Amino acid sequence: MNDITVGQYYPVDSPMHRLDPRTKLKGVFLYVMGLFFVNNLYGYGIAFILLCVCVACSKVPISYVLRSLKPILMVIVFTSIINLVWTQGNVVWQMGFIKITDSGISLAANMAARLVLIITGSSLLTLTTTTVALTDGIEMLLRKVPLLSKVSHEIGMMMSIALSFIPTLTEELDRIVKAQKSRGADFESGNIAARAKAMIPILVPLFVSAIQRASELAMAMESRCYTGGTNRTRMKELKYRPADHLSMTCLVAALAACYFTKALV
Amino acid sequence: MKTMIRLEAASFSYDEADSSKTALDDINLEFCEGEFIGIAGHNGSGKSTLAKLLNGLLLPTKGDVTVLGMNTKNENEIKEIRRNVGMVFQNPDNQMIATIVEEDVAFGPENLGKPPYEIRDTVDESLALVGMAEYKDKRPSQLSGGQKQRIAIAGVLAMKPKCIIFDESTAMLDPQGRKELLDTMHRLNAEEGVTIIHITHYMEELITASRIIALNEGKVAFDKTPRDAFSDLSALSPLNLAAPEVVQIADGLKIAGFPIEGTALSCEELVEAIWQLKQSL
Repeated sequence: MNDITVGQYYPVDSPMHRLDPRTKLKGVFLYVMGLFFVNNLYGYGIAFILLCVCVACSKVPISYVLRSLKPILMVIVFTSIINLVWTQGNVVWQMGFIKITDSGISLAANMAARLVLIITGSSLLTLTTTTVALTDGIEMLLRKVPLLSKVSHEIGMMMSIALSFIPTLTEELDRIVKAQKSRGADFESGNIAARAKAMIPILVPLFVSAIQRASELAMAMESRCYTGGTNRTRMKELKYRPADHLSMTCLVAALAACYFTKALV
Repeated sequence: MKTMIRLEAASFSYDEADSSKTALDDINLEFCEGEFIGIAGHNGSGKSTLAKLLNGLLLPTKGDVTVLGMNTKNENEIKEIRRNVGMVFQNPDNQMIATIVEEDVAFGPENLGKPPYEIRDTVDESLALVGMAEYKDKRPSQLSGGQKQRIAIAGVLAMKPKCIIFDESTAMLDPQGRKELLDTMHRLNAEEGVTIIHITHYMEELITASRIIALNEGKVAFDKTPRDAFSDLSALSPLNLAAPEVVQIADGLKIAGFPIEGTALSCEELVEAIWQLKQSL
């Protein structure tokens, strides 16, 4: 209970881990966007090789990276079947009322490849970036987004406080559940409605304590001179290094290559 | 000695409509630089309210609180006041802001807008001062209560304060954690010259204080040295405060007909007093 980690950070030292979180965030964003423009085998080939290079640079074991696909495996299988069966086109194979068309096959393959690449690509971000670095990176990037620049500090602060309170609140939840059980509360039996109702005596104290904690934390922050984001400095400042510029250039080049494979077909 | 904090006819009421229901009533006190002040009182005596008046977390409804000559009502100086008067709270979990120990310690100087390299130095220094340097990369949830409170102290020390208020900071700790925290307080007081204001209802923690201020029903009940305070136990009982064990034993002996000289505050002093009594018999 004490060692709960958010995300799935894999602690090793690698070129990928050392990249600036902003580079990685921007990279994943561009990669995901880029994948939506790819529509042929060559494009997917390049995107796949790019991902393989990134995984190799991250020193994260392949089995670890693939584990992130497990929760959405069903989604991939399900969407593939739907695409396969429901798409109109030239019929390739037919059995009873089930028709499989050529465009169905290509759509299903496209979607599956896209989902697999997107999920593995973005999980590589959380595997190689600590939550602290991630929230810092998001805060810094939001500064440049027009509507959000004024509240970027607040959003970053909220995210990092939320993350730091997860272990405390999990412990608290555990304590409340035990306390209610010891007084005879029953969470396991009954239908869904009864079980949902049994959650109320857990959620109410949890919320009350969370609010009390928040008010105490606000007091502690104020007494440590917190007055919001203006004139605030950071101990660890994010700095782009040559490696960041280099990897960003490589990424853009690879994605451009992906895009121009369209001309090949 | 230079005055650190001064309260002049300060009153505070949580009920804005009815100011006669006061949590603190007409308090006049003066805390000097380098002192180790104990503030004692039972639940609801107003001791936590007093603590929050001292660094401007609450403003007095009547009267004034001044820190190094700056009035807490002056909004322009509130940051400087809070930099000088740090505060460590009761629940260690509710004062950790960051997910990593050193980031948490850096929170104060970051708010003061110090340059990064300077923050790095003060953070390392502050962690070393509380003996937690090797824990700088840990998550707060991996630490014990006493260690978390020491991190909280480091977070305050990183702002280079002249005074630290401990608002019942020992209340949620086990005996080991309490001892660690008290040792740290005394070391900071003796070696770094930091003024300590320790709020507690454990009287044994105040034996070594330079002054004990007892609060009752929002008023100052007494303001004495520990020796004077514990020489008359009848003054403590109406305040619902229990005297330290050693003092109680000495008092019991006196009642049982053994006239022990003076007020013993430590085990050694009591042994000495009993020895002298035995020799004179």
